[in-house]
Amino acid sequence: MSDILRRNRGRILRTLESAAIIAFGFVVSGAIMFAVGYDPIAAYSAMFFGNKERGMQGAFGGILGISSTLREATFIILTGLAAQMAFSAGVFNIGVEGAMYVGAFASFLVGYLFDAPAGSILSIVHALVAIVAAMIAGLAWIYVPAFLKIKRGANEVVTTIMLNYVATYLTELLVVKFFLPTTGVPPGGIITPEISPSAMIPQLELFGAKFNLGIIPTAIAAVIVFIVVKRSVIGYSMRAVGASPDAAKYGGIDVNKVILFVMLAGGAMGGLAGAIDVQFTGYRFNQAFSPGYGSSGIPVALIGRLDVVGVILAGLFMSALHIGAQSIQPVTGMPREVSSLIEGVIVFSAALPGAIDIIRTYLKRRGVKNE
Amino acid sequence: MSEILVDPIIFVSLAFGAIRSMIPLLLGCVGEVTLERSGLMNMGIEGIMLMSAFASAYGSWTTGNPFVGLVYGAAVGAFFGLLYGYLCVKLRANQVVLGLGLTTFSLGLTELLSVAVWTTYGYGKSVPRFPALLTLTFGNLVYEISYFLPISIALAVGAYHLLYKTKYGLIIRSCGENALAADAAGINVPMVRYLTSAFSGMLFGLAGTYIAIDWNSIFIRAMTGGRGWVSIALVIFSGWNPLTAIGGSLLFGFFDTLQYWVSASLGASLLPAQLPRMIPYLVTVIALAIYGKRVRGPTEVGKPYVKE
Amino acid sequence: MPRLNSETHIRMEDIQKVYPDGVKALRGVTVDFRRGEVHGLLGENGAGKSTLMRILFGQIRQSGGRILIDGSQVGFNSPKDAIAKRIGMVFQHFMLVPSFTGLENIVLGLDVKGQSDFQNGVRGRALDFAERLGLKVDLDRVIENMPMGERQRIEILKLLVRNVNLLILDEPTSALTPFEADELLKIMKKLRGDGKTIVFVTHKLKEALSICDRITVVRRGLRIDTVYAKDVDLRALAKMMVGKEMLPEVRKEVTIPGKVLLEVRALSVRSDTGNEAVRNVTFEVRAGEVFGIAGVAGNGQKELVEAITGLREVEKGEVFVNGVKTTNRPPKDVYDLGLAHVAEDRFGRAVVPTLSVKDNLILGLQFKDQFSDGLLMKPSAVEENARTQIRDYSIMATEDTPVKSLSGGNVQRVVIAREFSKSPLLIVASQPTTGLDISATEFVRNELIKMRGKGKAVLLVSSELDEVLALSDRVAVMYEGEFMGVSRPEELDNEKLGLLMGGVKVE
Repeated sequence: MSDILRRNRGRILRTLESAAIIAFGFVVSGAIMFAVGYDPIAAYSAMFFGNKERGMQGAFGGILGISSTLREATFIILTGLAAQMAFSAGVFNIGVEGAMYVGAFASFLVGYLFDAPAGSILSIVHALVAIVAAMIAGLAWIYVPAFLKIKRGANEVVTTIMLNYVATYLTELLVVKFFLPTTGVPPGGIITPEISPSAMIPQLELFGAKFNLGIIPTAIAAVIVFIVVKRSVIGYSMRAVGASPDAAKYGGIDVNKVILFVMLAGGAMGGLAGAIDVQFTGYRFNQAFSPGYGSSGIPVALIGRLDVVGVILAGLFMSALHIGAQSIQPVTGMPREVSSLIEGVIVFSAALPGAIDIIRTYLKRRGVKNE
Repeated sequence: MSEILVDPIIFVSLAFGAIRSMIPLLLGCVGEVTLERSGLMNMGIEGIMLMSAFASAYGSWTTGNPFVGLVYGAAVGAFFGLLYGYLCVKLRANQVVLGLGLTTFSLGLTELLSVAVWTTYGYGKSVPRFPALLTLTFGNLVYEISYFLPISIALAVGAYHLLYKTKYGLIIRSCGENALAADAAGINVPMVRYLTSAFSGMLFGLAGTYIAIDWNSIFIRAMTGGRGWVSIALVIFSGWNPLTAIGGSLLFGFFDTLQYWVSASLGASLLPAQLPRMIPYLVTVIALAIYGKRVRGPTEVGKPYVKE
Repeated sequence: MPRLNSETHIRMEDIQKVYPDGVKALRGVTVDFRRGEVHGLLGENGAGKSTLMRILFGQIRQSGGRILIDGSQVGFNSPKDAIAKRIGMVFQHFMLVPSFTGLENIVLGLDVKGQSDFQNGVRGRALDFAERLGLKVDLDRVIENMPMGERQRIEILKLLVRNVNLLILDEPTSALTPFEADELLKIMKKLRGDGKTIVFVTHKLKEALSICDRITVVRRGLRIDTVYAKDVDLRALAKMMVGKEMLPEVRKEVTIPGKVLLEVRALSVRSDTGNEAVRNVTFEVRAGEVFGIAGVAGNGQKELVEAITGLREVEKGEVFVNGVKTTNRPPKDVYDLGLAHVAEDRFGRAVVPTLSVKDNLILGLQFKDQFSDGLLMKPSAVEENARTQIRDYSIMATEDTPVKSLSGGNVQRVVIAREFSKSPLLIVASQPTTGLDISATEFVRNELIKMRGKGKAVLLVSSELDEVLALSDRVAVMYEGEFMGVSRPEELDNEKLGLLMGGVKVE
């Protein structure tokens, strides 16, 4: 037993650290809520378990809640994986949001412009091509900031955030210009017509709630990321570059190539997330489809650390946080933006290496590990 | 297109709109330039502006006096600016993550407090505003220029003078260019950074105050609308020069106001609304592509050396 | 003009410095500096002379001993305090803000009156000093655009403007061209004439003799002696600087050098500051021999090694590994040709500290068939390799231990295990035993000899003289980027070596 503990000590410590920042986030936010005059306990319980009287399900309190939580988790696990890959090589990839928009639009285009007879091999091909188009679009979108970082030393944080805005406006422009009536925006928002049925991937109906199959590509992506990071040659290079670019160079690794790789991979995953929205759930391109899935990837990666399982769990957690927050308003009166409050404190604490080290030495001294 | 500029009403509208939009950008930019010159980079400007917007709106609303709001806004800005600087210098916090966390946090906090104070979701109640510096009437159209305009321009000029013409500016810039050399010259680098953090935070606070009290005279959820990021863009675009930033912010302000004017369907037939919105961001990317390698010193040097 | 007067200006008494990790940098050094003298502080790298001066400048605090200025004791908490007491230091690596002008750097941190014209008052004074001392400077030029000599003059003006009475110059000629060095010596003579006290820290014998009035020789944290320059010659100084040292016997079998495995032809390489660090160096290393490069660190050895191993750009000349031209090719290519590099910067370059031992044991080898099939790694092969290496090289760790928790000696074992098991043809070992304890040092040296015995070519760069002499078949002394001649160790005694290392060509 102690042998297993020792071998996994790194992982256990990291999990405890993540748990600590999450707990810290809840405690500080709870204190703020309380200070303002609200009931944090009621809020948290409504968030996760819902509130029968008000008819809210929270994240896990009912089938609708669970399905919503899983739906969002599908997206932010993907974007979290994208961010994680970048982190492990020492880079920040905040451009996943933009890649998502561009990918979603590409998926829509291919889905809308083409058609295939239902149930045929061609329709499977159609769907796959649309997905691949989305990934390529996402990848291409990220290429610009990645290239600028490598060749011109341009700060990738700023360029990716800028391009995120550009992506949202650009896609909006294209939708408004080509797919909306000239009379203005219809009540449904800035949305396109539906894609061809051959590009759609059906959803499952279980117990009155809809579950989309986006979990499958996400799971595949998670497995691939795991293999790449932990077992592949390039994963080895990534970890070396992230830890010590000098040593990596000495070890014969082309640092620029590695940076390019992780950024582009992140872009492709972002594109995939976009395709999931268009082909697996919404069946059209909806300008407002992402309440910040791309940016949520960062806290997910920060909490999940450099561990695919961690990212999955963190993704589920963050998703629960967001979905659950919608139940808070009817129950306690607080706005659902309190999820941002909690998330903000969590990310904030994750930024403090000093704090993490303090926690680490505290845990060590407490004898959590048996030397 | 030329018809627009010739038509006096539209031209005046755009001009005043540009002036109105440039103020928070200029303030944010000048603050960030000062900070970056001392070696830090604040990625949470958006968050600080938002919190100051709320604080100022609250101050103005509870006391009925917009100047109280101004004090609240500036103080909140300075506080969070200093906090950010302190965490980065003393605890070696990761600036990017810290800034992003701050931005997210501020969204949650301001909305929570807004609901607590005004009980409505997404927006607050109307707050008293400052008297205008100048009011112009064209028929039944009224245009105002706020006191914030000369204030922000004065701050820009003052910051330029401070940074590039005084010995204090020399000290600040040495911290950003080569902290080791500054330290060897006997300069207390951490202290300099704390001061610029507080000062820049105060300017971000002023920007937020302006947006809340003077521009909209109400607090709206996430009302800073990305202006914090555009400020960073402006810093690069203006070459870390507060004087050029005046012109730059006017230009960016023009595009900002263009989007409102266009989406008010006055010009929908001429220009898609999204185009002007995209331009500040595209311009930033281009600016970074050209100036990318410029020394900024955002990666914290850490304590120049530990006393051996 | 006041010349040498025997009044003691500053006395450093019984100064000790022990670092937290136990290293004793200074073991009780006492030195007097007199007004109006140029006092040389002579010693090899690591002798303690820079440490001593940084204590005097307030950058480091001493563990024991005291500092007296004109008889009264002082304590410094920071350079600011030292400057207030009119002590200033010009560092080997200039502490200037590159994008500021010369004047701006001089003014930085100075308490001046006035706002917009605050620079002009200082400008006047700076120009006065410059003219009196014959310093040619353009105060309005940006440091980045200045040659090294001019930058140094700005550093000196910085101190003069602050009315410094004691100037410490730390290896001042290391970044200068010979012409600039001559100019500097002239300036120092003038400063001495003004009654300033100058401490001239150096490892260069000729300079010390030509400019200093008195010279203190430091070795291994102790003061060996203080002498008047007129009373000694180069040989005597050399002997004092280098001393005798007993080394455990390293048995070297007789080998017959074989084919040329490393050829360096007319190589010139630039340093990070843009100077020529390696000047027109030519040599070759054969199979079965150890070619040693001796010399005080900072004379171009680092840049030479980096150029050979693909980590630095070559400006002129060529490098051939096993007959194949490798000039300016990346590390991977050189490794493929059979080069192994035991790097000088152990933790920063030779290993990735956060990765495990087993991962570090394949750094640079991850593409090989043995460890990967092109896309995926072979974890069992990596583990197997790690276990073998740990056993064969007696590494005190498990394969999963992160390297950062290993001792210096163990880290070096990891590096050597990795590099030597590549079955290399040529081994480049740079400062391989710095910071290691006795047993680790012995281990490294024995491994190098073993490789030599197996017919490998070994290029050994070390500032540890005894090491170089004991291990090498042929030795070259490197000074200011050039080879001072290649000889067999038997032909060199400590005196000759000291001279060569100090820049004096010997027949």
